[in-house]
Parts: sequence; C-alpha cells; structure tokens
Amino acid sequence: MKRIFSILATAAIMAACSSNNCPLENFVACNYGFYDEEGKAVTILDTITVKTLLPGNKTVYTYRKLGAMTVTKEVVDSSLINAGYTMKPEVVRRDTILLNRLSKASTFKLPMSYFNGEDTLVISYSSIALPDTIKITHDSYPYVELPECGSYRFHYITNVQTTDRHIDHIEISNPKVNYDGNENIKIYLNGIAE
Amino acid sequence: MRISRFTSTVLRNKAVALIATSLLSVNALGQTITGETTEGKVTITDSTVVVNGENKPTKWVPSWEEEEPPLMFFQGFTLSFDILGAGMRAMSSNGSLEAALRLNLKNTYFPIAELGVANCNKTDDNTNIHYVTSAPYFRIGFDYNVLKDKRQDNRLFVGARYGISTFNYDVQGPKQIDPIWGGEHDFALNGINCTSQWLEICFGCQVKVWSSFHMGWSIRYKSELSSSNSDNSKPYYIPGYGTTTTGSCWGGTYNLIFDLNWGKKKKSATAVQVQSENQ
Repeated sequence: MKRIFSILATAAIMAACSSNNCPLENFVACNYGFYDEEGKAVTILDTITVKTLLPGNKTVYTYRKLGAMTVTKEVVDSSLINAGYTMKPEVVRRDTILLNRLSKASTFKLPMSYFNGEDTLVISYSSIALPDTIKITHDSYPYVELPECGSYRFHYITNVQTTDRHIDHIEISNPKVNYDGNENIKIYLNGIAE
Repeated sequence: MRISRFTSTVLRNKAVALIATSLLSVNALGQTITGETTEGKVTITDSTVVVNGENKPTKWVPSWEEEEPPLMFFQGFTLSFDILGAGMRAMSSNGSLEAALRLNLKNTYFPIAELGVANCNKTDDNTNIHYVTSAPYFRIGFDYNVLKDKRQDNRLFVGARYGISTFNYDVQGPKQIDPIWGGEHDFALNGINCTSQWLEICFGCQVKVWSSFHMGWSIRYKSELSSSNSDNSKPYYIPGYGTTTTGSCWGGTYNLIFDLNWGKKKKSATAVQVQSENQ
C-alpha cells in the first residue's frame, strides 16, 4: 500500500509540472548553401548583400554635379539643389535589405514572402560590380502545431531561376520551407574550390 | 476411484449422488457406509466416522465438502459510466461522456469496450488561437484483477487499451501579417480530418457500494501511436486521448459501475443436503 501511494504521489507531481512544448528554433526561413561547380561545399570569401524586391514602386531622386559624387535619395533634398546639384526623379521597384554584408559564410537563411507567389532576391558582391538575381516561385500555407505556439507560414518551393554572373547554377534540395533548418536551395558558384 | 475437485456446483451435486448410490457400499442392515474420498478411506456408522482408521467427530465433513467450487467462467457483464469526464466537460474547455461494457470472466479477466464522445473548445490566452473539436472515440482492451481472493466484490485492476478516433477539428486565430513584403490574411483552418490511434496502460480499483452498484477509479498512461497530420496542422486534442503537447499523457476516470449478472447462477444446495435428500 505504501508503495502504491508513493507511485501515485510521484505521478501526481509529474502531472502537476507543465512546460512549453513549442519549438525553440521557430524562425521559418529558406536555407541556402554555397557549393562550387563540382558540388563541394564552400565558404565564400567575398562579402555579399541580399536585397529583395517588394510590391509597389517608389520614387528615387538622383543628384549629380560635375566633379562630385552622385547622390541618391528617396526624398527631395533642397540643400543639394542649392549647392548646384541637378536632380533626376526616377520610379523604381521598392526593395529592402534582407542580409547585409555577410562574409566568410557557407550558408545563410532568408525569410520568404507570405502572400506573393514569387520572391526576387538580388545578391550583390563586393568583388564583382554586377549583382546576381534569383527568382523563387513558391506556395505558402498557414501552419499551427499547438495553439500555445502561435501560427506560422510555411512554404513549398516550386521553381528557382538565377542569373549567371557569379552563380553557375542553382537547384532545389528540399522544397519544404519550415523551421526545421534543413537546406532548401543549393547555390553553385563559378569555379572549383582548391 | 477417487473423488477430487469438482468443476461446478452441478457436477458436485451429481458426484454426491454418485457417492450415495454407487461408491459407498451400504450393507444390508444399513448400519455402515464405506467409501473413498480425497481424505482416504471413510467408514461411517450410526455413531462414528472413521477416516483411515482414525476416529473423527460425527459432524466431520470430508474435505471435498469444505472446498469452494471453482468460479464459473462467465460471471456476467458490467456497465460503467465515467463521471470525471462528464464533470470536466461541464466545468472546463474539454471533457467527455463515456460508457463501458465489460465482461467478467472468472472474476479475473475483464475484456472491455469503451465508447464515448469528447469535445474540446479552447482558446489560448497568449496567442488567441482557438481549437474546436467534438467527436466519438472507441477503446477496446482488458483488465486483470490482481487481488488474490477473486470471490470478493472489490477488485484491483491492471489493464491495457487500444483506442481510435476519427474526427474533424477547426483552428482559428489572428490574421497573419507579412512583416517584410506586407499584406495580411485571415487564419482559419476548418474541417481538418484526422484519425488517431493510441495505447493505454491502466491501473484502477472498484469497490462494492450497494448490491450490484460499485464505484471505482482508474489512472491511465497513454501513448500516441499515430495521427494523420495535415500539411497545415497537428491535432491539439484527440477525443478519448487528450492533449497532444507531448507524445504521451496521463488520464483518468471515475466510474459508476453496475454489475449485470446475466447468466450467472446462484449458489446451489450443499452436498450434505443433497446426500440427506438421497437418503
């Protein structure tokens, strides 16, 4: 009887304990990995910045003056005009920086859009003047594991395209984008690692 | 020929009659009866009983008369209702209505089928995500009475169950807002179909309260075997199982139990009475 009581007491104490069972790593992101032409994982020595295009347009003002550096701003700057600069307004796609000056990395992760069918990423390199552009077509769907953990937006990649300035080619390694941290896209860079 | 254990009260009565008519030899004067029992050779006269040459009290009864007859294989049905689940249904966000039909085999083995309907209607305070389901479930398994004295009306059980439920559930929550690209969308997943299976290990008891009415409780350790997950969610609550925050959980019942002793025969007349009738 004493033994039964102790077992029941232990069970009651265990049942009284509660914990949060939500995943610790809950950032939904598309994971990219760098490889050389032959498929060997590499670490890039270059510094890269990744921008993405946003829906809608914006007006950009470019200020030029002979013998001075060109200045680009998103607002009208009358002080530059008074200083002798010429202003040229231009309508361009809105964008935002997702990854700023990443260096010496073999992987990186970026979020994906919730409601757009296609994400456009512009990858700029410090050593090459022209950027590469990657287009990722995907489906997005809501996901909830436990009510206490909130809702997420998962994605399923259906297609990828890229320019070939620094990138040799690109392929989907795992189309399911969630918070598991698995690699989703392989980026094969030009050249062979030594 | 030796008389050993009897297999039922009916057989015992027949055996006693057999002793009275064939095994025991009665002399022509009717003064002495001799025969063999499990105690050995028995001689009965008007005033003495001699067993293997040893005098016994005249009211001595051979051991085959003292032995209780073995239990019948089928002892009847038991119908029970879980009032713990019903109470939780009334007072919390989830609960169940459950009834169980149990067979009683020799007061030892109890095959059982449990049928119920459970519901969950919960909103998380932090995330405002709302989960709703209401569906039937079914369990089948057995209990084993671990008490040494199987004839008493109180029982201590260990047992196991296999449970299954097919159900639909809805999950709704706040709008999903894209923090980078912008835009928002309602979050509502309705009518997601799921089938779940699980195993339970039970420990419990029941005590006789009055006549055929018993009360008892059980605690159960439940382990989820499988659930058909959709791309959009996992079931938070499985009817009959409980919440799925981990792969296993604890549960319990508090039962009102009614013995339905259909087919269970009442005690038969004792051997001595039959013998005296034969005489």
